[in-house]
Amino acid sequence: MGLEDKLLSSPSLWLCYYCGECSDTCPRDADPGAFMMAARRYAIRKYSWGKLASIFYGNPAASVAGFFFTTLTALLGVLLLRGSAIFSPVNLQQFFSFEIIHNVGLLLGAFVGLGALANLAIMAKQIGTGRRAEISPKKKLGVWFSTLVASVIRESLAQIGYLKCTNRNRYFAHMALFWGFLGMSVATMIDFLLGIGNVPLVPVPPQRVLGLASGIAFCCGATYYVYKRVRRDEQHVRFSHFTDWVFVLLLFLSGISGLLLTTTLYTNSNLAAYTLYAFHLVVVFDLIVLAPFTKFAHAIYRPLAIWVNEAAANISRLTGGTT
Amino acid sequence: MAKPVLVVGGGIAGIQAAVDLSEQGIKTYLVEKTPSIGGRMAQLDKTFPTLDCAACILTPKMVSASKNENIELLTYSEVQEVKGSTGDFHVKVLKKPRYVEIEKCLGCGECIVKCPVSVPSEFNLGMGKRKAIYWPFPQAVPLVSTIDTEHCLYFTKGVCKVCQKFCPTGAINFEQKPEEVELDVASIIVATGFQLQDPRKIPEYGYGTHANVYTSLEFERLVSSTGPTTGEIVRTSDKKHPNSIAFIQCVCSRDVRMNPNCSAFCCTASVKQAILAKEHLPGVDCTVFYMDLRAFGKGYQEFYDRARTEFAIRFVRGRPARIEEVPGTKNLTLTYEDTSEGRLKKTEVDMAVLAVGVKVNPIEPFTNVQLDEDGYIKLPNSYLDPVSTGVNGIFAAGVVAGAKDIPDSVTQASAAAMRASVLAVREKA
Repeated sequence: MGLEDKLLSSPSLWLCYYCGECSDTCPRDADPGAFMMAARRYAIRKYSWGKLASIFYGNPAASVAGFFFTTLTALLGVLLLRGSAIFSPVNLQQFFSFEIIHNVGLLLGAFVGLGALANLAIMAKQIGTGRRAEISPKKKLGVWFSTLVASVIRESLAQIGYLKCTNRNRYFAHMALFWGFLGMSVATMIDFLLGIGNVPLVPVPPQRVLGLASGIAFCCGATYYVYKRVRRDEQHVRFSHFTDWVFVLLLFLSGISGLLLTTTLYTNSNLAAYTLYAFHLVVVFDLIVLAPFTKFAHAIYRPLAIWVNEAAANISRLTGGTT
Repeated sequence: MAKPVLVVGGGIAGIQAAVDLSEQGIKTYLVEKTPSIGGRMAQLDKTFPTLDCAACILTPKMVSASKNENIELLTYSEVQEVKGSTGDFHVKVLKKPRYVEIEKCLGCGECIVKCPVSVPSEFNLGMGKRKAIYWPFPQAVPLVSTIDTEHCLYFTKGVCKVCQKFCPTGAINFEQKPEEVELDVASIIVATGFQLQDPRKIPEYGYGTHANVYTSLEFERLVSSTGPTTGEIVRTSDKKHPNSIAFIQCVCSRDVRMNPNCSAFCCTASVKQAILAKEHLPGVDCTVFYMDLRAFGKGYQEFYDRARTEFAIRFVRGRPARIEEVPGTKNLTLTYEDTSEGRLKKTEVDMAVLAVGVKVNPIEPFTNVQLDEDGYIKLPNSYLDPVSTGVNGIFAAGVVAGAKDIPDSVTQASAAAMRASVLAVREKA
């Protein structure tokens, strides 16, 4: 219909929480909620730099192949670069040097960061084609900046909009997942900055408490998502695309493996610990490396969409025009 | 000699069937549960596409039905039980007490004038008033008053009896009892018609909470000279003429939540109402919000074209998402997508008329007659025998057999009368 540009230039696509009420209410059973979700999958493919996302959204076989490749890389990395696995007490640092993890982590971070920025740029350009000159960021910079701060705090961090869902559990689950993830990242960063390798089991340093609490929160959230997709008891989980399952399962597996790993450190179950550690490294590698090209990418697209939408509205109000 | 036939339902379909049967010399019972025959058509102001006065074309048929010596009118009566088989049905009908003797009542109306109790009028859909002793509308057939025992002072408190005091023929009889009659008939025609769905099932349209949201039938009563405002289109909230009216189609029709079917007549009916609005209030702005404009009958497309060109009525393809009330003015804000532009818009109007879909009246005593899943009577052979129900000898006509307009209802009624007459004149079943 020649409307591809219009679809991809609309930030409204990303304002949707998939509460499913539109599909519940629709008198013609047109399932607009599912359409919005499909449109987002389409947008992820289209915004992606180098069409990388097409591999993971193309078809299940291509996706499996893609993940297979990434997993294999990680697995080979772990197997080839590992140290020795001593048996009592469990020494993760010796098994797989934290140096390697930190260096690889930085490299990954750079790759993911650049990938995310590239994708964001493509999305921004698409949105720009649908916008009028009056609200271009080149003018009204002040409004753009103040809106960025306000919208990021309100929507991306506090996620106030999610509270409006009839099912409030979705808000709590997402906050747990999101802040759990951030909390673990912060804890890890603190360890990295302080140069801590193996963490003493007793007494537990404060950043490890943060990390553990965040990990538990993360797992709670991730479990809720798997549970809902299995139960299929609400509109937004009635249908699961394979990309939905991949994302949800990767989150769940990374969380659970991390939590179990921490347990094995305390119970000194060495074989379990090293296996879980290897598994954990591979799963987390998959999750992070592919983030900008999978469903995880909503984490960058949504904030941009919200920001653009609000800035446009604010500018419109100031100039008295209509967008 | 021919055996009698029963027609259940005194709307245009039932009336037509009864008249057709009686013209053949067949005795016909016409049972109607309200005090007067006439049905939905009696509530209309004009009919589409000719803009004929509905009452002017209906009332001659109503009079015909009442005067024809082969038709026995059993109004304010209900079918209780249907037994028997093809050619030999035994039907129990309960004649509810009006507390007014039909043979004595002249239809002078003194009782109504004198009655001290005013209650909302059902015929005017609660917008006007009637007395506790009443006839539903001035052209009622039979023109015999009926006492509403729920509001009559005598029946509720044992006092008053003013109607009896002033009745010149002594027709008021408070001792009247319900009477059960048994009719032996050769065949039956079910023409029990419909009501409108309850638009409160779509709360986002605000019917019942927003003062100026009306159903199509309520608007029809406003436009009618026999209506609560004698034909003045005014808002209930402030009695002012509206400057803009929105007509919204497919309310409780084509809706998977309560009625997936199209109700057939509402598109053309709303076009008619928009034209009538323009005739009553030349400056009014009328917009029809539709999904598809279904003008299926003879002359309907031209009628719709006329609405657009001659009457400058606007047609917007896009169902409103919701109707909100503006506090103070009680105007209405419609949020809708204009699908021709693909843009979300808002507009403020003074009045909104919902084209509410059909809700088939129940046919409980006809336990053998099957209904399809939408509540209409199932016509097992709908292509080659579209008046036969699953029960041999019981026929259906009018909206009870599927949403349709007046011409189609009349056609189906005549067809059903034809088929019913075969069983009546045949020697053996």
